[in-house]
Amino acid sequence: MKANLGGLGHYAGPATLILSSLADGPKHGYALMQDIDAFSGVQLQPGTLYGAIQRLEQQGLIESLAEEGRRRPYRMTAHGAVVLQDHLKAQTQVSEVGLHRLSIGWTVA
Amino acid sequence: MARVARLLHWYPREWRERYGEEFEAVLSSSLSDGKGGFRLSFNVAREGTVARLESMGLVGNSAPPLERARASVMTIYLSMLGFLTSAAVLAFYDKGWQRAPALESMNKAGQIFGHSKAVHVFDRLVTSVTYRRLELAADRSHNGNSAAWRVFEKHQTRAFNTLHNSPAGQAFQHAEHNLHFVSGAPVVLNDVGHGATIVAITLLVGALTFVVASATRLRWRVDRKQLLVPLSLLSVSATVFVIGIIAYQAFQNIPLGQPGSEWMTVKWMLAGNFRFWPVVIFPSCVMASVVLAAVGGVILLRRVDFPPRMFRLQGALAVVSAGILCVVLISTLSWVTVLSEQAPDFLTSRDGGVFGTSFLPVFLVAMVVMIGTSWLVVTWSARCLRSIRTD
Repeated sequence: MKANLGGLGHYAGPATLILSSLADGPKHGYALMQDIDAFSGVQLQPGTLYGAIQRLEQQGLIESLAEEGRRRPYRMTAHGAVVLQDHLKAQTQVSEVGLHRLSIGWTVA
Repeated sequence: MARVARLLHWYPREWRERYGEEFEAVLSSSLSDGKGGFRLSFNVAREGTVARLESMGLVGNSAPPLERARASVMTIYLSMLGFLTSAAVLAFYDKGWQRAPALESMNKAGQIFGHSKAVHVFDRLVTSVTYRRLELAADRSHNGNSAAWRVFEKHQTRAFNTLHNSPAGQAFQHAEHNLHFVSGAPVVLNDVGHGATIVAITLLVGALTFVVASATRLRWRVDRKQLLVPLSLLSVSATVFVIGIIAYQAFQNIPLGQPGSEWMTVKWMLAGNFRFWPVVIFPSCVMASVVLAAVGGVILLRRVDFPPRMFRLQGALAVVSAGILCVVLISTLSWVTVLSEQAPDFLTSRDGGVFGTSFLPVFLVAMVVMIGTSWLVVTWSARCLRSIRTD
């Protein structure tokens, strides 16, 4: 099933953060929130987190693992890794263009 | 922990069965770390509500196609009720519009007449002592053929002739005999709008009757007990509506001074201008009927397991209804536009309506409701048919 993060609507941002966090190994929900806060400064609320997790799972980009007590870890699938890579490459291109144009036309303090 | 349980209940049952335990663990950890303020509650409430709407098929595409089709049909049904109620209120409020130019010309002639010298002379005549004595003598005779009554009648006729034979009086009578009523395009457009509204009402009632009849024959694996509440609500809705119509018609036919006519005015309200039956009983019955029909219809649609072909039929009917509603909208807008040329005072005059308000604010509110609900019918018809195609 072909998927891209653009189809997730306003969950695309949180989905990017979740996939990026899962790129270095499986995590459960609260660990995802803490990791995302640490590397991006974004504090995802539980409702938004699980809204994105549900959609990522439906699209086959992540999968759940066996429960550990009350917590259930998630890991990224191979398909999810491909989608994340394509998405981040596109974002990188946009960042490079934006930063280059800023350096030419603007003096930012 | 009570707070965690309360927050979890924002989500639908199926979602809680899948994610409930781990979500509880996340919420508990967040609360323990002091991150459980209003922002968290608001976020959970919002996302839980979205999850409920998604499970009902009202938003998103995650619900099964038949659920999405069911949600579409419910939305179309409620929108049509809203549209037709607004159209009916508008039709009720614009009574007498065809006489508007006639009333305008009569008002102008009446104003001139009212300020004329003839009226002043007439007033002096009928309030004079001589006239009053003649009137009393005629009354005391208790006989319409008595000499006293004939003398009084002669003076009364003379007084009225003085009034009406004056130039102002004759101009008023001329205006009375040459009343101009609205004709042409406004009449045709108004008839088209009302006709299309009646067709839409017939279509809605027919579709609902067909659904109810088919569901009660248990063709779609439905528990009969589950049908009791919605069928009762729909029956009461129809009964209350008929009662309202009868009450209104009965009011129209009670002559003044007859038993029952004491309900026609409530004198402790606006100096006898308030009318109980058409202002209180009739609108209350109609609104109660609409609310009961809305609730009963929604419960029925949620409890019956329709097959896809039924949703396809309802989607097709919705498309036809959308077309009819557009006819009503266009004809109503066109009617007001052309009427503003023939009867410009009708829209803004305070003479119309039982509450003494002008037609224009009622028209604007009704049009906003009608445009909004017809847009819903159009968009959700398409969604219903799309959902069935993916099934």
